[in-house]
Amino acid sequence: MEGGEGAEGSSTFGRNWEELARDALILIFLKLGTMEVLRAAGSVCRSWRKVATEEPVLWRKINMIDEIYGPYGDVVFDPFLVIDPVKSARLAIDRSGGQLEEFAAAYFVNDDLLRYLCDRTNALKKLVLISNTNLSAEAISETAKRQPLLEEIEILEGPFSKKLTEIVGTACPRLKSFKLNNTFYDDEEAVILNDDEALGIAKTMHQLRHLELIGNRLTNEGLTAILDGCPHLETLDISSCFDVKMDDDMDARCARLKTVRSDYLSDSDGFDNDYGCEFDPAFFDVGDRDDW
Amino acid sequence: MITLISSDKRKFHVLEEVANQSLTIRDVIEDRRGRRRADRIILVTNINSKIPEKVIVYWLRHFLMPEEIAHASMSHKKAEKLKKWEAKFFDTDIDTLNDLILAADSLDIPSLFDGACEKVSDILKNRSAEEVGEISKIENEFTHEEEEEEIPSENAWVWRNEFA
Repeated sequence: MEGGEGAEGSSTFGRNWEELARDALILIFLKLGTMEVLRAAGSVCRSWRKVATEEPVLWRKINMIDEIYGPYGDVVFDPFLVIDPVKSARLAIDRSGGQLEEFAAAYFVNDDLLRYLCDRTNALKKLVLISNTNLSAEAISETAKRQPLLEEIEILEGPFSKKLTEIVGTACPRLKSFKLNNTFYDDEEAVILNDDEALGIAKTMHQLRHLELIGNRLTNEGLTAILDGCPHLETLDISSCFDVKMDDDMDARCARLKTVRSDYLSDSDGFDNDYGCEFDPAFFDVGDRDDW
Repeated sequence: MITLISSDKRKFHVLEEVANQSLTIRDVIEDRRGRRRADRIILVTNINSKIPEKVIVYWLRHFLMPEEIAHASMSHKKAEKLKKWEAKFFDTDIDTLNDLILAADSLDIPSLFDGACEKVSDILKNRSAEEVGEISKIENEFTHEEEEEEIPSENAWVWRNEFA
């Protein structure tokens, strides 16, 4: 340390970013997120790259949804984005050194990538797959079988298979949160399926705390089975499940849950009007008629 | 009262209770308790005088409400105020932030460390490797080949192949 001459002299310390404390760099990288480190920060200089490549802790949670696709999963055009997502995902999985706990990705995931992931880790706790059209139900089943520690699974607009929920539930006994959501109601396959998925859940996922089945074609029978089969269930979201009738009987069955979201409308739903929603006439009150 | 001396020989007098927010300093004081007065002088090497000023300002702000922070029982309004103050505090150039991180690291002040790292990551977000290098004044030391092998890039829009 050469003692600097007063405050005006440029400091002899701290100008050297490459020397930045390892802990600080890890924290900064963690806050930046997977894709940012892959794309930019991890290739700024050798010492930064060393941290990016040799610290598996950075890659325990791989989230490739927000960074590329924006918060709502829409593809954001990014001029820097000349990255192949599948290759990036593989690189990130490699760097996690078998410690991968969370994997979240949208659109580009295919069967090969999931197999690649399973070949390198078996400690996955959370899996989020959004709108992956290239993905088969078999690949998801296979992944579930090879990741017995899974606690959270979220699949949005995923592939359909009658047996999927049963296989997943059997393979992952720790499953606490399960989301199998769909926004295409008139999907041919979805129409054919009725209570299969619900019965699979009821049969196998006894530890479930949170369940989302948005846009599912289950009926009251399936829902009853779920409520019987999952005694620990706390939250349930069956929005857009138009085949479920929330009658008094069903309301009573759901009473033990903390929150239930359903858009089934009935007279006994608590809305004392014909609008099917909470309607506050005062909101539309334009005041004194004389003003008009 | 204890005295901190920066690497450029400036002295800073701080109340012990305030300086205790640095776990490193707290340990040193604990070690030297009951000894001579001269032992209440702590050399803070590797930190220039601009940084202790900032660190002490940070300490003082946080000293005013230590228990509330510890117990997370701060009222919404106070928390909001502190957040605003911190945003302003960290709104500085990246070199100062770097110095703050180093200081927070060596003095062991977790909240300062976290806050400064967060701000740096905000600055580096959504930038290319070249820009990050420019901001942090790191020269690109890679050869072209090295860069190629690192970043799995294709010089085309990602989805071209998928939908072709």
